[in-house]
Amino acid sequence: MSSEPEQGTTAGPDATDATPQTESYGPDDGILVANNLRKEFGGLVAVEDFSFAVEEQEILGFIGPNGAGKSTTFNCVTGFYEPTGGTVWYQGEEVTGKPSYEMVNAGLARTFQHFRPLHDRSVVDNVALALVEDSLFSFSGLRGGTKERAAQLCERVGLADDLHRLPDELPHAGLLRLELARALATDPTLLLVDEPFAGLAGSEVERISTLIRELREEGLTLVVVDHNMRGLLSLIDRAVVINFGSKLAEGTPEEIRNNEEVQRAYLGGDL
Amino acid sequence: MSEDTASGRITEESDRSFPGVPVRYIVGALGLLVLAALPVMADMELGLGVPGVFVLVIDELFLLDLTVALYFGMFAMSWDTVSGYTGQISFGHGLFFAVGAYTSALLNLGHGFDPILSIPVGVVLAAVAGIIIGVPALRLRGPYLSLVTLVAPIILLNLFIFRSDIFGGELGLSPGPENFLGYGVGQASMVYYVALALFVFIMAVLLLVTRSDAGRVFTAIREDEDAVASVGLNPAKFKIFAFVLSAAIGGLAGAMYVHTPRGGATYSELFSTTVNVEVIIAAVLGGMGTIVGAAIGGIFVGLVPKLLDELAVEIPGFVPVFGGTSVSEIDFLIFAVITLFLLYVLPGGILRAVIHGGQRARGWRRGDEVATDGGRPQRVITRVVGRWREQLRGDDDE
Amino acid sequence: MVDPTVSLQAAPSTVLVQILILSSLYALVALGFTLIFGVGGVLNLAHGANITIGAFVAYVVGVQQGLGGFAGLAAAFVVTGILSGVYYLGLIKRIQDEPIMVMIITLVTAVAVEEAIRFVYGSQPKVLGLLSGRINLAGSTVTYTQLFAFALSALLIGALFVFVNYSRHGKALMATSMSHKGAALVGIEADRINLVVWVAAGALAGVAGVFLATRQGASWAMGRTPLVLSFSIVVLGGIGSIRGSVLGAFVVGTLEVLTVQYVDSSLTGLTPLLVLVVVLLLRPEGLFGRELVEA
Repeated sequence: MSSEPEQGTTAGPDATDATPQTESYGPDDGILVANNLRKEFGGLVAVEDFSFAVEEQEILGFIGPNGAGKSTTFNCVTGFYEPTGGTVWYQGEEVTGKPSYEMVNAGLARTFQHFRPLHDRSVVDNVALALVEDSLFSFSGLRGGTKERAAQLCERVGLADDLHRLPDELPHAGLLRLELARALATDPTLLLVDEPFAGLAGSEVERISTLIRELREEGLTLVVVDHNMRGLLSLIDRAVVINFGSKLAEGTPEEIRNNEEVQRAYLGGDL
Repeated sequence: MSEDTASGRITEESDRSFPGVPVRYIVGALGLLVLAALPVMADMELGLGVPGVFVLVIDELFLLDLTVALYFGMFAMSWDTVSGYTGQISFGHGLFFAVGAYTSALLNLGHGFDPILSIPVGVVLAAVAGIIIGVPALRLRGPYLSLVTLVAPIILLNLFIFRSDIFGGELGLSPGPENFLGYGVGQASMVYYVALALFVFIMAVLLLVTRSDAGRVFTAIREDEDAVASVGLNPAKFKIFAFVLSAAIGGLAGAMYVHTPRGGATYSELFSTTVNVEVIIAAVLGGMGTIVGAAIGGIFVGLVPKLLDELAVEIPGFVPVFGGTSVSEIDFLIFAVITLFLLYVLPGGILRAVIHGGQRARGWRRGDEVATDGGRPQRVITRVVGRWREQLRGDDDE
Repeated sequence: MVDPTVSLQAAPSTVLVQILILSSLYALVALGFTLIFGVGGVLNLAHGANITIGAFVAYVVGVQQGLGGFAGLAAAFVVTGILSGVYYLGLIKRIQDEPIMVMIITLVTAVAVEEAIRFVYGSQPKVLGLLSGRINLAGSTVTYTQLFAFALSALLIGALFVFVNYSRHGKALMATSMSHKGAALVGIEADRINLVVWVAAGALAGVAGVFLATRQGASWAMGRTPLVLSFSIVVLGGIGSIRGSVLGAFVVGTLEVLTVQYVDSSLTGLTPLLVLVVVLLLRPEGLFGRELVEA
């Protein structure tokens, strides 16, 4: 688990602007590694030769303005899109282009930016689905064990009072918690959280941040995607900034805050 | 601490949702009992009490009609498994019915196979057809998949006409295939009991599948395939399972039907647009995504046109034709209009309307009482193609 | 649906004339379906029934009442359009947000219309004529009726194209097709737009029905093939795009003519469907469909 390469290139803010594209990662540079990831839609290059590595048990911030290619990168890494080029390694194994459900079963879970609950069933049943085995003939759900486990998970993320509500009855923050519970139910080692803070009130941001920190304490590695740095910088250990589909900067929250390129990309406004 | 409260809530909840045996189970069991007792009531007349008006005689003719309706109910359940549960609306389910029926009939007539052997082969071939259509179609979603299912039977039908020498063309195979176990018109009760036993068996199998974990995944796929993949379940695997299971059962219904005294291997019986449409009507009328509703709808759709035929004394020239396209031309029209009316009044299907009516009458407050099949009236239907629209317009989520 | 008698010899120009005539008819057939699918987001499976109704209105007015082919054509245009509008207001409007209900109700309606027509008019096809006489065009015998159908189809498609792209109502219509929410925000009433679309779709289908009937006669089940064709064309051409539908119609028309000319006329109708399936499997978003692009 050496992490020399990115440490070398991200020693200072000036180093990042100099040669962000030339760095190259290998399978053992982190728990999740993407090397020269590329995704094109027709003629449009959404992600351009983008590389990054996630270290074990860190909270990595994945930051970029709207349309910078965050979600696309995310979808490529989690198997929802097939990358046009590049390599993805997870826990040392190449997983490029593997379907999403296999990634999840390997321990890499995600939440959706636009929440995607199953509207036809209760909160606890939404979570229970994630506990169902990927097998055609399974009746474990009928024995009630999964429901109990699902209820515990709901409780873990703060939905104890909403077990039997329908997702449509939940407030915005509740839906986020549901997304988290559903992802946690797959028993992940790494959790990608897509834009958790969008549309949340300040107090809620704090509570979700606390939850994320607790999850890290329990051994989880987390990648948090956001276009807004304000809430994020206090939460994360390290950040990767993406703009126009390629890496703009990488480093500690402090370094990112002081990086001129980043300030320019955000028009100096959002820091 | 927290575990106690969590499990406590769950138990409390499940207690509340099973206050004794729900009335609908009792009603269902009674319905099956009545079906089982029908042959015993032979030659009884059920009517409105006015002599000569709407009198229904339970005779061999009626039992054979009901047999055909039971197979159609089976077929409707198979449609519901794939369309009502996973949301993959199949417009051409008649294909599987026809593949099962023609395979069995051809093996029986051309190669002397006993129906007891040829029927399983028909089922297997129908399942294979399910794989051939289903596996490539898995890459398609929503309306595109439905388009393939709409087009596939038309392609097959064209091939049937192209090779009329084998398939008998418009006239069908003549003479018709042998009867199953040799039960002819004279042993109508036996024909009927075979159908009823199979009907109950298939219903049990499908209820088991749809109420197991797989059923929960099916309905989740109907809601949001990506969400299913995001929790580590392979949607393709469950979709193909539903599709092939449905195809096999559709094939079984077709193969069994063709070996009843009423069944014939003509494509107007097995293959016409009417068959494809009727199965949808049946499942929707009964209630999509319930299995039981589809079964009831299937029997209703299979039986009502025949009853209209037999009860309306003015219309002479009874010709038993599966699917209601009988010589008394007007029955299917009336039937279609009744269906339109019912759809308009009870969009969630008859079964749900009855259950909800019953629950309202008994003052139950909980909204998700039909939760075993995961859906409230209308919403199942609404959502399936609500998803389509998103896909067609480009999912702005990604 | 190709008239097999006109297609024995096969000079390229002959084939081209056939393709033009058939494809323009198919474009007319598919347009109404496209419009409703594109704007309302629902599949109108009674589209074929509209075609049948158009043909039979023309038969009643033109042949039974003896008012002549063109009076029949005009009647088909008007009556089918009105019926389609009434159908929308009476049945569809209430459930237009539930596409599956719309599909199933229109499907049952289609069956009911077929059965009603078969009950009233029997199952023998009715002969329908517009113009007599034929002309030799580039080695291909073309009836005046076909020529007229080609011209009127082109005119109607062109008019619709201009309407949608340049008139205020047309732009409102396109806006509705792109985003119901957005259209509502700028004060477009989706219900009124939908009514216009259903009426237009019905009228166009009525005319298409008359032209189809002049080729093969008017019969109770004549709407089925056009429905499948429309569905195919829409998928090939991309959802809700008039230009795409015309392109899709030409693809299907070309394939059908080529099949009849060079392969086997008994496979008519089969080739386009096979190609459609192949296209769907290779390019699930349709030949000219939009590509998914991240916002």
